[in-house]
Amino acid sequence: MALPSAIATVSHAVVGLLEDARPNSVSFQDVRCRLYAPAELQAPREALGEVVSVCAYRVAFNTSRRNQPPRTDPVSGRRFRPSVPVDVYLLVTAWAKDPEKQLQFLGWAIRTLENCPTLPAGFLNRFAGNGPAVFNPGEAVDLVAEAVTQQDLYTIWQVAPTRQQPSVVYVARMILLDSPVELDSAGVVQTRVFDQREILIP
Amino acid sequence: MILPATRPLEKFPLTSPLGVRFWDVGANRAVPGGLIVTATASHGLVLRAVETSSGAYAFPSLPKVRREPPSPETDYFSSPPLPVAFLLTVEDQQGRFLPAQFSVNAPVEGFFSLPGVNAGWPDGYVPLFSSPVRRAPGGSAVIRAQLLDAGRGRPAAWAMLEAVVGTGPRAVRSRGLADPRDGSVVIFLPYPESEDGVAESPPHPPRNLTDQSWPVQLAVHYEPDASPPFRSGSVPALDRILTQRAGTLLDVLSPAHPWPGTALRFGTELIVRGAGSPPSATLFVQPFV
Repeated sequence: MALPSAIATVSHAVVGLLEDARPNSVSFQDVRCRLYAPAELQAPREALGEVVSVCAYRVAFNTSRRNQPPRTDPVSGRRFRPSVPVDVYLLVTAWAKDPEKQLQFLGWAIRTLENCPTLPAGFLNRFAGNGPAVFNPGEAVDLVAEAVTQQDLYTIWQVAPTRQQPSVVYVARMILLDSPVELDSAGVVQTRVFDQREILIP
Repeated sequence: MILPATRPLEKFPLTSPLGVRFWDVGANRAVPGGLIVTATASHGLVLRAVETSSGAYAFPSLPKVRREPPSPETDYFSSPPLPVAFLLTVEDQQGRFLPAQFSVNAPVEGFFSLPGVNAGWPDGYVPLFSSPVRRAPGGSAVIRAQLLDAGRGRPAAWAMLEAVVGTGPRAVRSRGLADPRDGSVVIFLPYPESEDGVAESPPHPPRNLTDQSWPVQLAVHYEPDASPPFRSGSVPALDRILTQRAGTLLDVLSPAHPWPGTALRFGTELIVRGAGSPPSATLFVQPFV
């Protein structure tokens, strides 16, 4: 259950996870980890510099738990419109002039993301800026590697068909976007009144 | 559609004398259901609660507890009947929670709360503690220990272990109860927020999430009188368990050496061990004296 800015926060957190873990070695000293817009795949900011980019190219409704019940605040008992579960598809791409380095960066990025398959709220909220916490303390987001077919990958790279780079796709699953819209709630019923009446026949 | 004309005959209100909700201390949320809640009357009659659609457990009727107000115009709780004592027993068929027992004087207006005991769960809920065999909620930190009564040489049944992970305002805390059969206890809690800011431009030293760790302090509350050794069906009163006084965790039994604290690492279950104990995962508990 998270604020609507959760999609952006998770994308930033994946970049931050990689940036935090960047090895302190000579071959990684110039690598930057960046959040790219899909259009930037065609004209990267650091044109073929050493970059590991994360691009949220698709956001989809999670259909496995689409029919969510209303969200209930356990403390106050207030009910809100159901949260919307979404999956965010992240294209992780390594960029470098040297193909050997490029593949080295991609391998490192995969290993780093696989080491942390679950991102807890305490980590995610670091990337929420100065506003309120986006995720509740007990929440977490699963990061799952997605096997994308060559055809799908080709379609993704249609924004930059001549610049396709080795990439992998990760899915940040089941991000629940909360609604602030409260539902009318009659409260808990402890006493029921049975009103018995006789029908008057004219 | 036109409703036919009617003439009122009588109105009679009926009140459910008891409703209970449960709080999952491990996952820090209301228990969604799946419990068997029974009330035992003083003469031995056992009644099972009805699970409502909101996840509460209601007793629509209880023996010797009147359901109607003195008159239809009177509010039931403005003139309630004399309270009747019941022993409530909670069991979880899914094995998520340790069993619990507590006394209730019915009727109760609103949801029942344990009197005089509230530490970390909302009012109107009764806390349930995780069984050591329970699967950890996704993304939770896990702390495990096995507690042995230092004086009696038996599992420190129903000892309450409290963990504080991290320091300062970002610290998180949670509790677990020792399983009476072997003294094993599990505590689930969210990972604390990292005290590092967002990484700025390089160079900076690598800070793998998997390398992050937080200091852990444990406190134990244990009184053998409140925690009888395990026999089939012997579950002490929950309010008595929750009000046990502080004992001491010992790293080494002889000479007695207090447990010094440890660290929790991201993504790894913390199994708290005593330095000198023969089964390596056992911690000794010196009860309150």
